[in-house]
Amino acid sequence: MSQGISWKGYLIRRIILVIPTILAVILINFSLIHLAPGDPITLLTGTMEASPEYIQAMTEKYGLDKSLPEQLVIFLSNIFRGDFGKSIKYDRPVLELIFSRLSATLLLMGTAVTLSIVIGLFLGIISARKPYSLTDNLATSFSLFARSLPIFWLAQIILLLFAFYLGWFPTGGMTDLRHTYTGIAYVFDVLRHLFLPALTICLLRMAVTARLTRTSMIEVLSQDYIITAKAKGVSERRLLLKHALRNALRPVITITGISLGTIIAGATMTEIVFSWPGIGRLVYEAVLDRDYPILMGMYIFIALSIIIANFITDIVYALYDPRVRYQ
Amino acid sequence: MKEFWRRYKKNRAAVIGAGLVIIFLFQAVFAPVIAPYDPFKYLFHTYLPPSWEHPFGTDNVGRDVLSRVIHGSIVSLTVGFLAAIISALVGLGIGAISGYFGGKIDEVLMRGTEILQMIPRFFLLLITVAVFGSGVVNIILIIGLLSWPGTARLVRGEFLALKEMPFIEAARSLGFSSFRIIFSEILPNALPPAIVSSTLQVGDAILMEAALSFLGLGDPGAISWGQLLGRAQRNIWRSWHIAIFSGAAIFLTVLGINLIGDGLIDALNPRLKER
Repeated sequence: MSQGISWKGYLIRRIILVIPTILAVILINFSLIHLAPGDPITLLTGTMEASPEYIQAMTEKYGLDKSLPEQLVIFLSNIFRGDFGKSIKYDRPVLELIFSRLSATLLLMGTAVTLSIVIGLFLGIISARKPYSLTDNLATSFSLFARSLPIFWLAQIILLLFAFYLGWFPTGGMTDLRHTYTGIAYVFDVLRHLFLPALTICLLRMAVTARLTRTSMIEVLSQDYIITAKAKGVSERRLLLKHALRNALRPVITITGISLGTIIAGATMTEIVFSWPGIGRLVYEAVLDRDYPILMGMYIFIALSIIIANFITDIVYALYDPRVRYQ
Repeated sequence: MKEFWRRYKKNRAAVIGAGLVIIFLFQAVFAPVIAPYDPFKYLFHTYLPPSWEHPFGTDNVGRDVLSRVIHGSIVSLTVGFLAAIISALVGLGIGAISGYFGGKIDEVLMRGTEILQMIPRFFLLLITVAVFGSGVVNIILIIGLLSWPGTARLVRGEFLALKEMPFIEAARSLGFSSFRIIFSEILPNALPPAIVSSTLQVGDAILMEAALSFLGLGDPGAISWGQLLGRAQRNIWRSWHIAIFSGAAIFLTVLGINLIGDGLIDALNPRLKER
């Protein structure tokens, strides 16, 4: 029973932190619209000559003739009803535009992050097994390099080398526009296009995971229960995979959750280099067109998704590992 | 100081890092003197590959890329260092107040810090710069004002630990003011971890400025490495040399700063957790 109470307490503590964060995200956005040079209307309608009717419609929609607190309430209720504003260029709801690009981004990020965790864990374990060996030193310098690399530059180098110079992979996009493949041929076509952008993101994330795994594995491996297991004659393989890895996995998952923002930002840049038709391209085009509603809506959408994803990760982890709740 | 240098130079990578940063700083300060050509001047030969005359080639309108890369260091380093200084000052201030006074003040400040940390920084940076305009000053201020939470939490932790120390008790019983205790007793002892984290922040700020400029949100009036990469992207196959050299400049600068940061960890030996 006592566990039940602490579990509830944990949940409440998390919610207490999440709600103001969500409000803060929206409040920041709201303030930006109002603090921006010029008036909110210019921001919402762009530099184009908006017709008086359109300005009137926007003024009514956002209650721009009302007081600030009233405007904030209207702004909040718009967002909670799923109205993130309307793109200037496309004249379509921002949320609709985001959803039309989301699957491509999720495919890219999902593939890259999953691969990076698997490979990173593997590299981290190898490094931790023999600290300061050649493999370990290579892995350590690799993660130092990865920390200093602009991801879009890495993407460009990979693109130039493998797509342009060697010609092994397509130079961009998600499918070959000259053919319309179906069935299994379509899957292979997408995979061929996916490979290089996923490799770019994977390389950088892999470095982070490997470094983290190494640190936590070295720490775990020096603990009493591992030494006891070793003394009892548990094989090294079993020791590493079963006992140590399970404990080393937690920081990796936590950090991946915390880094989601960085990962999405990285994916955005990578998508731009490889013309991958995800939300990154949308951001890029919105910056070029100064389509503020898209940028604002994108920020709210990404921020809220990350906050909620982190919340869910935390809760799932606390269910799985009771120690978390007591911290 | 001598002791510090002795420990610092034991880390050979950190010495190389310092060397790299000094080279780039030198380049930024003396850019107009070192650059072989005027970085804005059209030389009429577009997309020339690297040669003796133009070691880094020329760009789409025939400007000398080497000169542009040299001039690009000015923006990157200015943004990197100034943004890190702003972030360090804010982080030190908030961390010190939070850790020293504790209680309600601490509660409020730390909740705020945690909230700011949970908001994806890059997209916030992006919309803020898009809205307020992308002059260098704006970029420095915005990066600086969004980057302090890590430092603040670190400093707060140091303050929490240090304020219970006997020498602080002593200072308090001697009737020193809070102000004096914070600044002349605790702060110097809390500084090393903040120095390390701020050093690493210089690198982060340079990467962030590069990403903004790559997206076309950099200062339109200045040359920066990210902007060079962004323009190279438009015709990447013909601009391969521009991409390679301007990207390498970012990479080596940030690498140098990160190496210094790692060296400082050993030299100052602060209780700094693995990043």
